[in-house]
Amino acid sequence: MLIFHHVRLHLNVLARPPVRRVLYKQVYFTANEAAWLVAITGFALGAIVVEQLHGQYGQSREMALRLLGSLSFVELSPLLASLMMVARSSSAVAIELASMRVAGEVQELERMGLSVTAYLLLPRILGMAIAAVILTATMALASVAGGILLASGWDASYQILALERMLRMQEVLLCLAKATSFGLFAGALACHAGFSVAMQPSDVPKAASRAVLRGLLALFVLDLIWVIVR
Amino acid sequence: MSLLFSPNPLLAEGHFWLTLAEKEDANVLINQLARSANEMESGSLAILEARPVLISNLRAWENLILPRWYHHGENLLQHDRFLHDLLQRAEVNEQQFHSALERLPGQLDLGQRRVIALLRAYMQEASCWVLEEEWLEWLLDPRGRNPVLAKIYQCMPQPKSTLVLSLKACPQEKYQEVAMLAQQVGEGE
Repeated sequence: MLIFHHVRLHLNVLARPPVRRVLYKQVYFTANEAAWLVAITGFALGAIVVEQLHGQYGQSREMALRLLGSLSFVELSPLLASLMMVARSSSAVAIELASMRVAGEVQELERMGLSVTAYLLLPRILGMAIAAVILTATMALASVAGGILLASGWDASYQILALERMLRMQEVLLCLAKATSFGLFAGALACHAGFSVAMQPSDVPKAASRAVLRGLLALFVLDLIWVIVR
Repeated sequence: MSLLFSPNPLLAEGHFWLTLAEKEDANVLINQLARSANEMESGSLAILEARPVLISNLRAWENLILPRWYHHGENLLQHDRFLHDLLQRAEVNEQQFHSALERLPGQLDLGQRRVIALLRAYMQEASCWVLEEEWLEWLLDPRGRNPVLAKIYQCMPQPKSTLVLSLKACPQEKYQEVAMLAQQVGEGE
C-alpha cells in the first residue's frame, strides 16, 4: 500500500506542465526518431524468420506465420526493440544527466524548489517505458508485415485480414508488459548511471558506458525472469 | 550543516548583508537558505550568482519561465504576458530581445545570462533574493552594466528582502548586517 501511495504521489507531478513537457520530449526523442530504424529491422526480421522456418525447417507458410507471430510478439520484438533503445537512448539520458549534475544545473533546480525526482527522473523513466512499448509494437507489427509479404507475396491482403489466426490477445498483452518492464528498468538504470558518476567532466563518458552495459545486462536478466515466471 | 541567521532574511523585510570568510562558503550558504526557503514556500528564493547557472538543454525563454511554470502552473500565454508587461515598462525592443530568448544558454555571453537570471528571478516572484557581490558591483557600475539589464532592473518591483553575500564588510548605511547564530553538524554535508 505504501509503495502504491508513493508511486501515486510521484505520478501526481505529471499534472505540472513542465514535467509533462519533459516526458513528451523524452518519448519523442526515444521513440519517434527511432521508429523507422526499428520498423525496417522488424520488417527484415519477420521476412528472415519466415524464410528460415519455411525454407530451412520445412514448415508450411501458414505454420511459419503462426510461429512468427508468437516468436516476434513474445520474444524477439520486446527484446530487440529494447536493445536498440538502450544502445541509442540510455547513453544519451546518462550523459545529459551527468553533464547537468557536473555543471551545477541539478543543484540549481533544487534551489529553485523543483523536485529532481519529479522534474528530471520520473519523466525520463516513464518516457523510456512508453517509448519501449511504442518501439516494440512497431517492430512486432513490422515483423508480421515482413513475414506475411515474404510468405504470401501478392496474396498478403488475405493474410492481413486473417491476422487473428497468427496472434493471440494473451501474447500481445505479454509483449506490451515485457516492453514496459524493459523500458522502466532501462530508464531507471540510465538515470542512476547519470547521477552516480563523480562531479568532474572527465567522468561524464563513464556514465554513458555504464548506462548501456548495465541496461543490456538488465534486459537479458529481465527476459530470463519473464521466461521463468510465465 | 545547519545555519541560523539573525535577522533571518527569509522572514524579515529589508536589505541585508552577510560577510563571508571565504568565497567558497557562498555555495553552502545558498544551499542552506534555499532549503529553508523551499520548506516555507517552494520557489520563494531567487539566486543571482556571479555566473548564473541556466539549464543547458532549455532555451533562454524556457529557462526564465521554468520555476514560475513549475510552481504556478497556468498557461504559457499568461507567463508571456507577465514578461511582456515588464519589457514594455522597461521600453526594451522586444523583437531584438526575442532573438536572445530563442538561444540556448551556451550561445549567450555572461551579460545575457545575467539578464536571463534577473528575469527568471522576476518571473519567479520570489520574496527573497540572494545576490553575490559581483552582481551588486555590476549593477552599480554604469560602464560595466548591460543597458538592457539596467532598464529592466529599474522597472522591476523589488522583493521583500535582499541578501548580499560578500567578502567585504557591510556598508552600514544601506544594509543591515546578518550574523550567523549557530552552526550544527548533522546533515552529512
